[in-house]
Amino acid sequence: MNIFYALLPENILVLALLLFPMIEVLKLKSKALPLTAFLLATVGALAVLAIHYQQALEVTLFYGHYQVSPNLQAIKFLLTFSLLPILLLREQIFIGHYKYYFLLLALLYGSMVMISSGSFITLFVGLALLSIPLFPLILNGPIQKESSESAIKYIIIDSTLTALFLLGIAFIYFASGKMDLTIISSDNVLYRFGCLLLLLSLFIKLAIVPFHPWSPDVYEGCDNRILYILSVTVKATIVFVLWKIFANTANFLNYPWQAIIITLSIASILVGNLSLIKQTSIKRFFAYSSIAHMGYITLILVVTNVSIETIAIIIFAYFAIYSISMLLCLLPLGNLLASADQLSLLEQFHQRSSTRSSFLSFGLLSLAGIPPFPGFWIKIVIMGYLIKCDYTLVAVIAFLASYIGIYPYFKVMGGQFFGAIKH
Amino acid sequence: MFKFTLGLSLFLPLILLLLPSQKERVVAWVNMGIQLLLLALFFTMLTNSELCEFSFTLSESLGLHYHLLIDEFNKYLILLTALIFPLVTYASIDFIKTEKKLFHLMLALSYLLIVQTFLAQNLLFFYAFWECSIVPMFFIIGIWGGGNRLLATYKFVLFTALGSILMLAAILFLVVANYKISGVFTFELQPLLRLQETLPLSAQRWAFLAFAFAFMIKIPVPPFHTWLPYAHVEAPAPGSMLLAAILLKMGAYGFIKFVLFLFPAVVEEWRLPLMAIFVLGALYGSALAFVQNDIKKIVAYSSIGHMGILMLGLVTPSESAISGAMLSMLGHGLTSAALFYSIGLLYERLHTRDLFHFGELATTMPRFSLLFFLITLSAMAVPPTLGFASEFFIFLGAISYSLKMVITSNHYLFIAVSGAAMLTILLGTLYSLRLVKYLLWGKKSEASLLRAGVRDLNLGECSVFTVLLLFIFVLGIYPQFIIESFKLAIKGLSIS
Repeated sequence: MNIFYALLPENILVLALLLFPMIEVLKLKSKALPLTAFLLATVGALAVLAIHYQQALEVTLFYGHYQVSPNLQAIKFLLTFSLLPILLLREQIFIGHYKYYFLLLALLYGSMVMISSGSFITLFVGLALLSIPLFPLILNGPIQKESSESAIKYIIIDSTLTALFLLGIAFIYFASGKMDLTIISSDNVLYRFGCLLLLLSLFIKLAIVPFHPWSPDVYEGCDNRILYILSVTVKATIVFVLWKIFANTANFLNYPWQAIIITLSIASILVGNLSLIKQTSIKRFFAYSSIAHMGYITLILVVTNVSIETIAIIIFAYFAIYSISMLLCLLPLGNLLASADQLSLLEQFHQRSSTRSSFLSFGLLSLAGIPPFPGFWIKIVIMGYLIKCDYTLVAVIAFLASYIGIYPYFKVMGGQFFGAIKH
Repeated sequence: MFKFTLGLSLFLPLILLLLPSQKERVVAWVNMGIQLLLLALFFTMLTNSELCEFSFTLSESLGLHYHLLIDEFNKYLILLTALIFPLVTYASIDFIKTEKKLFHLMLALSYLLIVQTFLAQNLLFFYAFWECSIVPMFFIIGIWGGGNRLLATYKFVLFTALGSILMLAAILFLVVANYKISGVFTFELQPLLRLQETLPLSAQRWAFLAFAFAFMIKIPVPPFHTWLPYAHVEAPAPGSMLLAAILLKMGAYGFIKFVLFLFPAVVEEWRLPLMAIFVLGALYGSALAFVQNDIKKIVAYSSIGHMGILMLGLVTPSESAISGAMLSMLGHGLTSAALFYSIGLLYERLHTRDLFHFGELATTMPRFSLLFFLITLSAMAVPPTLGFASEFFIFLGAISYSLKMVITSNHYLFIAVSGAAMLTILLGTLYSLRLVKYLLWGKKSEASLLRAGVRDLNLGECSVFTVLLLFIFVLGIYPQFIIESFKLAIKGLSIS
């Protein structure tokens, strides 16, 4: 199989990435050009990914460092697709600006490398490619002071977790002498410690409790498109990477990781939902909501008695639904977030714009997991698999924790129609 | 015809959504017209006693069927819903002043959700509609409610959602347990009924607790009742009518349809404590109703009392008690709707709900007084009203069962509980007479003198009462055909 063909989606992105500096060099002032290039690159990548999936293309490249398989192509399809809605999220900054699309494509390239990685080295390269473009993207937030604070916080946290990740890889390599993801488990203490570091560094990126406090601060400075990317595209990539590690290393689960994952996931659901209650800022609200939602999806990683494909499908569906719910919340807000970021802005929103407030209500109800909105059905599926795997108590606790979330979501939703509750 | 009726109720919110929001009258009359049409459709369907079933398979492997069925248990509740809703809609034309279109939309939505909840035979769909029916009520109380409405809405949502989330956990547990035992993954109620033989009793107890908790919050049974007075006091009059007449019945319906059928062994085991809880709750509610000064709270607490007696009937293993309880659902639905409607009328005219601000309404509003008195007779369980008929059957069943327990196993606690339950009739008479006395005849207070020129009921308002009273008296005099149809239905329950 031709290497170029197997890497075609990535190559298209690289091509576009090379094209963007040319626009700057040639001083092409056309406003539509960057957008067109971005659209062409993403749609081209989507088309190629679909064709690869259709052909059931399955190859291993670069001595096992890079994998291409139908499942992975489908995941990449979702990630690429999840970038597109940001074109609908309107804010004044960045329109027609080539750097913006350049950084987005670079980010997408990073997440594709991560998904396709066959070894820890590629994984690390992908993680770096995913993280670095986000720094300037966050930096260009609506309020300069806040966004620079956010960006600095983000880069510090990110470099820390990258270092931890690298240390984890080093330990694993030291213990097993291997770099590929199909590591043989060993009882070596260093090996275990390496695995733990790997897991925790990815959890930092996912903002799982207790590694979450950076995320509301970072979200606060972003514009709502980056907020969407941070909570959907980036987090989906990390969850799929976790899934990949767990799926490839069957013995990984023999260690007490399950206990760690369950504890931290339940803690994030609880902390995320409890913190939602007292939020006054819209972006921090979505940050905590995202923390709680990552708690649900990481719970699915401990389910062992179903095939790994099933778990991938659940993660896939979860992020599809989560991104739809987030979009239902973010799209109606429109330019509201550009000027100020107070939940009190949403009071009497219904009187100002009834259609937009209805869609926002649907989004919030879906995030809260109220039937018949899609957020409810996917939670049911996760809980069902947990109970099927004899984690009945975990599922019940997760349910009760999601109950806490009902209050804040209803509060924000009700606030649009009849004002907020006075404390 | 069943499909058409369901489709019409499904499209009712959409039809209303498409109407222009400036033409509020049109929206109201279209809403009411379609609801009356639905009433007629449901009525003809149920009198023809054809099999009304609809099933659509969503996922065979997950056992998800969108399965709706009219059976003996939801038949009369559907009719009650179809009857009460046009009245609520009519009441809202006068009582709701702002955002009228949105209100009618919410009414249509809750119509749809309540009917689907009653009809659903698939546990997941039952849960989904049950949980979703919170949302319109949340808006009804929140947007059109009184001064303290925010607390009321959040109390309502949080209490109800807590119960339903536990119920959802129990549903999943049952489904997975069934999968492990029989290898079939299904959310359908019918196959899950077999679990009562296969599931160990300890597991059944937990599932029972989760289900019963959800329904006891909705009914409500003290100590889970605290949301109800708030919700009733703050809700607008149509909202209160809806809440008391239909939403509370959803809890009782769920109890009979799911708890009694899924866990008969646990009910059998815990019969005495259950009866005691319900009777204590009824006594507590009735006693509190006696000391309230807000007339809406009196009726709200009396609801707790009546629902407690209803639940006593449901857990008593006797045909007459269970059919009495089913009759009581209709009786309480009609009576409380009428009571909340009259309170709404009074508040509309006098802008107060304090019991001592009224007085001598018998002279200023004679038509209202007569109708209100007749309604109170039903609340007091005086023959020949439906209130009497239903409670008579409940007590008949409860006392005869208790006596049987005394004779067969020398068990005196049952008779004590049933005897205590009789006290609620006394308390009910006391608070109802107090209400009537201060409202209709009480000493003319200084405040009430100012209101000498208050307007009596007009034809439309009278006709709402007339419809409700007609059913209360007709069914009170001749409850036999409903009792008979229930007796056939509860053959499935193993009643000694």
